[in-house]
Amino acid sequence: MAEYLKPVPTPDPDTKKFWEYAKSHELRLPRCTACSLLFYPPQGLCPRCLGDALEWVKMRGTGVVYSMSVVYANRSKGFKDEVPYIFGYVTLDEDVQMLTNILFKGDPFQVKIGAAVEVVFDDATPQVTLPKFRLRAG
Amino acid sequence: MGPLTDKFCIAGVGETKHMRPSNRTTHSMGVEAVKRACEDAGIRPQDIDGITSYNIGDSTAGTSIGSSLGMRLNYAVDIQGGGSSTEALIAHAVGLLTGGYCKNMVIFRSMNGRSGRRPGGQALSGPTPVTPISTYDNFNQLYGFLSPGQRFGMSCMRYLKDTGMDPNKLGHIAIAHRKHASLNPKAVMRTPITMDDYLASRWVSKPFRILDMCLETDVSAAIVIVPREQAYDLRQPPVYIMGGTARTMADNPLWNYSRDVIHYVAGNYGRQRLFGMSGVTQHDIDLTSSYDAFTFTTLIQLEAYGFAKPGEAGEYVASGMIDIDGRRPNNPSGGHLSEGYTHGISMVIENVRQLRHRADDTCPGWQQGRHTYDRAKGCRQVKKAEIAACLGWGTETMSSSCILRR
Repeated sequence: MAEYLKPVPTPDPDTKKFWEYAKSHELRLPRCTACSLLFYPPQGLCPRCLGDALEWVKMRGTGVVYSMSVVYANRSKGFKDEVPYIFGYVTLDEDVQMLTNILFKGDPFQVKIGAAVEVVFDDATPQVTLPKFRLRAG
Repeated sequence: MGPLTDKFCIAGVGETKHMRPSNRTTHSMGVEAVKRACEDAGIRPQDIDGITSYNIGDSTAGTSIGSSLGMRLNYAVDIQGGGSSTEALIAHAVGLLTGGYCKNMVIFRSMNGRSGRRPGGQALSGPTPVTPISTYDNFNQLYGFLSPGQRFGMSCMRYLKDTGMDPNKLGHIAIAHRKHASLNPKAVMRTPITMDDYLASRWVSKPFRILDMCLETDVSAAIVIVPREQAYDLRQPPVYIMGGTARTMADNPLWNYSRDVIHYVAGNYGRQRLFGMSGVTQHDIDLTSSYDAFTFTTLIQLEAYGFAKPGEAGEYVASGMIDIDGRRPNNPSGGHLSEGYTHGISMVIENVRQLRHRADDTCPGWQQGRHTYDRAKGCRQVKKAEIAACLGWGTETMSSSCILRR
């Protein structure tokens, strides 16, 4: 496997489970058991009611593009050979947003706001899997 | 008029050249800028006892600048931050002077924004490793979300979608600011551009072309703030601080927990405070400085602060309103797009010079406030310049502002 040059996550007690689920190709996000808020990125307490009893809920893995940037210039290691690439916010069917990469083949401008996307899991390194998204039919 | 009116004023402004590269330390540049601002005011650095600055871990402490200039300080604090910090530190100065913590204040920014740490964290010598500093950054940098342009591009894309604005309208901001820079001997980019030039410029991070994006320069700049009574003995016509906001935040600064309208930016939350404190309305403002790290950041700020109706900022900038001879010129210096990049302080400095009627152009009598208003001969003075609004931008979720009058 080629050396992975991009940054990798540094899991902490708040985020460790997210990465463990991702490694087993599951997209799970924390939900507050008190007020039911689903949120991302993970943290140790609910940003709305501050409750710290959280459950990890499996997402359907589908959503739509909320907005995005198409990056043509990035000199950072790992990204510079990958331009143009897209990152953006995806609004999941469960009504929570994630910043992620949106994968495409060919013309990046085919990816538009409102496009339907689905999660794919990128096994970046033996330790780290990143949830990303790609266009889906329909 | 509001409660602050006439109590405090900006008495001096100064800066180094915009350099690419400076081959100087941020310390050396900071000393020069503070000294120049003091000379402009007609006050000795030794007679100033407060110093503040802002940086993103790329600069020099105010205490060391103060030492080099022989200052015996009663207040010295450096804050973390880039854009929107200048207006926030003006608010600090007002509070500190009101409380009696010091008797006057100099604010500076010094940065090798081209040859040192560049926006997005890369050095000119090559990429530097990405070091996650928080959970939030950790989750973004993984996906190549590294620079301000990439970030603000998402707001711009959604704005275009929600309003249906013709994206080419952003070009009018680049064109107007470049025209202004052509009248500014200090500006780095002075050759006028056309819409064709704009549309032909390359994508960096769509929706932004290279001409949507600010310059990177090595520079330091400073402003001196004194209570009204001290200004009587100084050199320049005082420019009074009427009111402002200091890092007003939109709800949920990290925005992805609950924010749904990404382009409902912090200025929307600061607008009423700014005009309420200042005791004036948008109609009273003769010129604006709107933080132009990108064309879009100017566009959305003009809308957020109520100069254009929601969804109509594109029409506002395309109408000629922001031109130096328009109804309400924006960034007559050329701003960050064309003069040079200072994380905001230089746009406040330009407004001060405009309000003094002493824009430093090529008019022979500019230092006495005599201008030809002939753009073909290089005059940069705005014709009617009594009250100016400075609209500082940190991110979509952070904004500071102030209103100044002559």
